[in-house]
Amino acid sequence: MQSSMRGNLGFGLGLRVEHYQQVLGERPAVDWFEVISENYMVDGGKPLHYLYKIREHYPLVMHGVSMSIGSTQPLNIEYLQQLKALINRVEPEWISDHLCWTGVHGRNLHDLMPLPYTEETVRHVAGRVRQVQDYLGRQMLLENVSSYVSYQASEMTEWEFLAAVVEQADCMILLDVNNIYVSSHNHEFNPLDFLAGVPVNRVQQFHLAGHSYNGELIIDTHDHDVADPVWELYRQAVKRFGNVATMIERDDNIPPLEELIEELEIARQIAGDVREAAA
Amino acid sequence: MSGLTKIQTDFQSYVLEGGDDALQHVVGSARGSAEQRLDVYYQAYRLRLLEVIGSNYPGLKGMLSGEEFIAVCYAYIDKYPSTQPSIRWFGSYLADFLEETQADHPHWAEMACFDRVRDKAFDAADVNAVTVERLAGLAANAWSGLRFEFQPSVQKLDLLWNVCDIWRAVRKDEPMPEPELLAERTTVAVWRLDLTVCWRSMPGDEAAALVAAMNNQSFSDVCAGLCDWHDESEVPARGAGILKQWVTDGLIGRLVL
Repeated sequence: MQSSMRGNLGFGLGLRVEHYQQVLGERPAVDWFEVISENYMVDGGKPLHYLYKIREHYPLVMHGVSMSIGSTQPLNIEYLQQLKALINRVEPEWISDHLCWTGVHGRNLHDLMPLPYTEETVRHVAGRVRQVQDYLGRQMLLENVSSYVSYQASEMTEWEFLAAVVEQADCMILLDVNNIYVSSHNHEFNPLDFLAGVPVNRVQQFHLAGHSYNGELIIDTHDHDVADPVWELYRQAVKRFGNVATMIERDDNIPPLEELIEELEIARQIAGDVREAAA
Repeated sequence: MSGLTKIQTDFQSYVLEGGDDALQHVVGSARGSAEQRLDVYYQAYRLRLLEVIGSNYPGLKGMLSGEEFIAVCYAYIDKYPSTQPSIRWFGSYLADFLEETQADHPHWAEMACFDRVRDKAFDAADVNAVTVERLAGLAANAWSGLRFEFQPSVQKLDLLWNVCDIWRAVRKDEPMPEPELLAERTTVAVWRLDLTVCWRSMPGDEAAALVAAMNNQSFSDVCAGLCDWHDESEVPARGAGILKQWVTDGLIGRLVL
C-alpha cells in the first residue's frame, strides 16, 4: 500500500459541468482538479468523456460523498467496486471521502451526518477505513465535516476524534478549513484549538468554501465566495501545516471560471505570504 | 443495539419521519435547540432531493406549476426514501408513483418516463455506431441471418400524450401546448449520438420492426414481420429503408453475422 503521501499538487478547483468546455479549450492556470467520484460512476456519455479529456491535461483527485465510512451498516461492496473501477480508469493522485455517516438500514440521506466522538466510534471507523484501504490498495483521506448537531454521548473533541481515527486507521486528512469555521461557530469552540489538535504529518489537502447563515447557525452551502474569517483561518492552517495542496469547492451558484481562479489567487497569495514570513 | 447504532437509527428516523427519539442524543444551546439543529438535516434532505428531481426531470418540472411539482416531489420523497449511494438514481420510481397516484393527470407519468429514458441515455455506455459504409460492405449472403446489437443508450417508449411537444416547449422556454391525447399510441425511440441525446417518433411498422430487431430477430424475420403492414412486394424496399435510417441515426452498435 502507498503510504503517507504528502507532495503538494498546488492550487486546484472542483471540476464542475459548467466549466468542462472552457477547461479543455483554454487550459486555465489551475494546478489540478478535484472531481466528485459519484458523478462519474456511470457507464459512459458526457461526464466520462470530459473527465478523460481533462485528465490528459491536469492531475485529478477523487472526492467521494457516499462511502458512509461511519455508518453501522455494512460497507457497500458494490459501491467500493465501482469506486475501484473508476480509480483504475482515472488514476487519481489520491482519493478522499468524509468522516461521517450517510444512512443506515439500507437508506441514504445524501447528507454528511456527524458521528459521536467516542472510543467506540473511533474503533468502528478506523476498522472500516483499514478495510477500504486494503480493498483499494491505497491510503485514503478523510475530511472533517461541517456539523449542526453534537451528541450527548461524545467523550472527546472533534479534533481529538479525527486524530485518533487517522492514527488508528493509518489514513490521511483532507482538512476542510471552512468546515472547521462553520462547526466552531455552531458548537462554540475556538477553531485554532482544532488546528492545534490535528497531527501535522497527516494533512494531505485543504478545502476552502463559502457558507451561509440560517438564523444563529452557519450552514456549509458552498454557494458563496470564501468568507474573510475562513481566509484568516486558512492563513493559520498554512502556518501550522505548511505546503499543502489547496482547493476551492463551489457546488451551487457556480460563477464563471475566471472568478474562481481569482479566488484561488487569494489562496496562493496567503500561502506565499506565510512562506515568505517564515523564510 | 450499540450506542452508535441507536444514535444513527434515531437520527435517521428524525430525518425521514420526524421521529423524536433523536432529540435525546443531541446537545442544544442558545445558538440552536436540539430540535432546530436536527431540523437542518430534516429540511436539507427534502430540499436536496427536490433539487435533484428538478434537475433530472426537467420536463416534469417545467410542465407542472411550482406548487404541483413540490407537492408531488415531497409525496414521492416520503414514500420512497433513497436507497442508492448515488443521488442520481433517486427518481427511479417516480413515473410509477405518478401513475399510481395521479390518475387524473396521466400525462404526468408519461412525462416522467420520457425524462427518465432521456436521463438513462445521457450516460449509457459508449459504443461506436455501425456506419452506412459498413452496412453497404456486407456480403450478399450475410443478409439473411443478419442480427443487430443496438447501442446501450437506445430505448423505446410508447406514448399516448403529446409530452414530447411539451418537453420541447419547456426546453426552449416557449409557451407550452395544452396536454392532449395523440391520435394514436406512438412509439418514440430515444438514444445518444456521440454526446447528444436524441429522440424521434416512429411509424407503426418501424416501431414493430425495432421491437423485433431488439428482441434479436434476424433481418429476414424483421422483414417478414413487415408483411403485416405492407404488400409483400414493398417489404424489401421498406425493410432496407428502415435499416438505413437506424444506421444513419446511430442506433446500431454492432452487426451480428
